[in-house]
Amino acid sequence: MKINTSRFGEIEINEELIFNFIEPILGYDNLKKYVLIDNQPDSPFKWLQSLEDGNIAFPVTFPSLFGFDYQFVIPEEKSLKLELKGIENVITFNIVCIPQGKVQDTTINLAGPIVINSENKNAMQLVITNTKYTAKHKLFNEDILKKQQKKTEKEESKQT
Amino acid sequence: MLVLTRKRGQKLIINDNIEITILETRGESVKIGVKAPKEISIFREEIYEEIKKANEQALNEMGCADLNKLTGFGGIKKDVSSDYLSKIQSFTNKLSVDKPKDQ
Repeated sequence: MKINTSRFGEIEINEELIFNFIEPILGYDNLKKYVLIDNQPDSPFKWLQSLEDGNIAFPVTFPSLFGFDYQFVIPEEKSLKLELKGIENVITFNIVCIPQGKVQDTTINLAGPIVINSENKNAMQLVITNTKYTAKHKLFNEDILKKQQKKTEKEESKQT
Repeated sequence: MLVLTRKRGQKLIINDNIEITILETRGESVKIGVKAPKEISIFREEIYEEIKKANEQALNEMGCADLNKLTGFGGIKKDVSSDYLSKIQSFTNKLSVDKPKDQ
């Protein structure tokens, strides 16, 4: 089916890949249908695009790609609601916040992961408590950022 | 909203299976004990607000239209289970406008 989005214009999506949020992304309680979209297959980032509001698209990523030792427990009642049969049917990712002009300060919401049952496409934003995870965890490691900065400085000095 | 006054050590019972005890009061703070079945979720309100705020900021303060620019910051692991990533990929809609250039 075709959907209209403010970020990508009119796009074609596969109806079988529509996620049904049985518990909402907090703050967006009326929006239930989302799809994952990417414009480059190998990119660690994707978009979670709303079908009901073309203006809403969350950037998302996968903590394990950034070396986070990230684990959480899906409470039994949530697992029942999702109708999860096993861990192998779980798809999970996290929303990232990319601040304007300060891309290096990008944060990842580890306290509110998106959890999806890949079998029936039921989805929800889980609330993780009693852990060290925060809603605004720095995505990029400071050491790597410093290295990156040095590299750019070197390249710049070469150019001049 | 139901408003009740309780003294220290007194309890509230909700729905036969949730028990709330006022354990201690000290100035502005109240220490509360909650006994409930494990399928009941109990959260501080702040955690909801934090997640909600982070969601809103992710949308409204978006400073980068091209997510691929973010990969330039490095630190991205290549050795993550490729089974899982290819599974994710199979649940992702591809933008047909961006056809691979090497074809």
